[in-house]
Amino acid sequence: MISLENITLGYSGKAVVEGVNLIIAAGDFMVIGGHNGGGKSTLLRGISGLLDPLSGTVDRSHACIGYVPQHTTIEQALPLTALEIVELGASASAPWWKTIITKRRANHHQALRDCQAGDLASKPFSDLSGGQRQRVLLARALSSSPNCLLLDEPTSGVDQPAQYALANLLENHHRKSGLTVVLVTHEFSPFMGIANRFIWIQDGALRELPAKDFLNHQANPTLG
Amino acid sequence: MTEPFLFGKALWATILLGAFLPIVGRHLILGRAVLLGLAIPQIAMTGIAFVFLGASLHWPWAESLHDESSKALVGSMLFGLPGLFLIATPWNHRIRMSETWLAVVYLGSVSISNLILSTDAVGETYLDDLFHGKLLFIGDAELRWLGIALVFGFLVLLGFRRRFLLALTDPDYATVAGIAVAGWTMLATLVCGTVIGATVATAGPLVTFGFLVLPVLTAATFAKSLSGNLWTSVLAGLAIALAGFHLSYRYDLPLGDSVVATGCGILLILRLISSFRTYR
Repeated sequence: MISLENITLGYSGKAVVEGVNLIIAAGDFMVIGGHNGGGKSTLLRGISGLLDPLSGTVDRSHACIGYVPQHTTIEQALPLTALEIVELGASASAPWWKTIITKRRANHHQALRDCQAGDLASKPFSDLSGGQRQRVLLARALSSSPNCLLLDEPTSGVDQPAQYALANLLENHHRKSGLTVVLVTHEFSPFMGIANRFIWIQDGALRELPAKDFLNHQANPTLG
Repeated sequence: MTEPFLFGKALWATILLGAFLPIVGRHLILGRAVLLGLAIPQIAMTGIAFVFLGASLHWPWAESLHDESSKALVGSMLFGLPGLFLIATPWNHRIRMSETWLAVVYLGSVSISNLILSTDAVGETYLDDLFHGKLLFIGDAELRWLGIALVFGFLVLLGFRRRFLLALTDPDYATVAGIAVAGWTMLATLVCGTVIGATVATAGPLVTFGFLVLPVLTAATFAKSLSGNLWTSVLAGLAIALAGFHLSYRYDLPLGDSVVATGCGILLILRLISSFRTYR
């Protein structure tokens, strides 16, 4: 679905992640971990297309990507309701001329309900808790029917029950529709029984680990 | 017989500004670029001062602009549009011009305008009137151009609002979704710049900046959604325009200053009431 071939990612010509080869297959549920500054968010930006590689190639021609940014990065100078967030997001997949006159659609409400956020439709996004915001952003990403979902720190600023609720939602969508999921996180526990691939990134280098070694690696990164 | 017609055109100009300028302000505020609304009108004023200087120095192209309103429109567009492109392209999320630099641009424009005008008495008088919002002296042609620019800007920003709003509020999501964020941002910049340039040339920077931000902030006191904010800000703009015009007419005060002071007063009172309700 998405393949990274010998890519180097970085900023202003300076490499952060080097010589990465990675294939994300359809139906994968991949968790990417690593310590702060290790390059995991840079890798996700490279996978999503937000960051062009300094060298190497990324093939995402078979992927229709839905993206869930960190909820804290949505800047709001004026109030947007949860439903408006989903509507704006869904309009992104339509040609521009079709966005000029578009009526409010039932599937936007359905997308919120599917993410257990139906009751939040008319509430301003800025008034929502971290967990509620993540559910709304997930509904927005899913409203364009992607086959691959990329999530950047979805558990950041979210309490533990909400982290597990989010993991369950992702698992449901993953199992029901075969959605490919790639997420970057510091909180691995909610995803341990769900994910099938675990990537540890440290000092710009990438290692794929078995699940049991992944948690140990977080506790002691010097493990081989 | 002349007086009622004069005030009629000023009233129409004030209403047009109140109804159609808030949507431009909404895009500036959503793009976290309110200071652009302050800096760009001032850059346009520098352009107007430059054209008046050119005329006083007998530069052929500047002298060929016979009436003052043509000089103002050409000067405003000459500096306003390129100025907006130079400093507003960083609306693009990859490079964002800091507020500090916008403040420097504003200060530079004010000082250069004043230096230019210190050598040109005609220009100084015209720009002094313009600063206070010279809507009372607006002519037929100026009113027509103002109307065309405002309605054009309103329709484009309203029609493409979903693309513009997505590019402004969440450029990363828009990029991953395949939207050409830089292109849509440039288009928004072009439209906003054209409207601001035309407005500064006819109404001056104070009234322009006032109608860009005050109705939108007033609407934000009530509206809890973005679509609600749009139509409430249009109503707020009209209310500010009519109340300001009434004050100006009733007490023989400068129109531009009256409108902006009225807008500030309405916003302050509504925010106090809102805070009091929240506190209770």
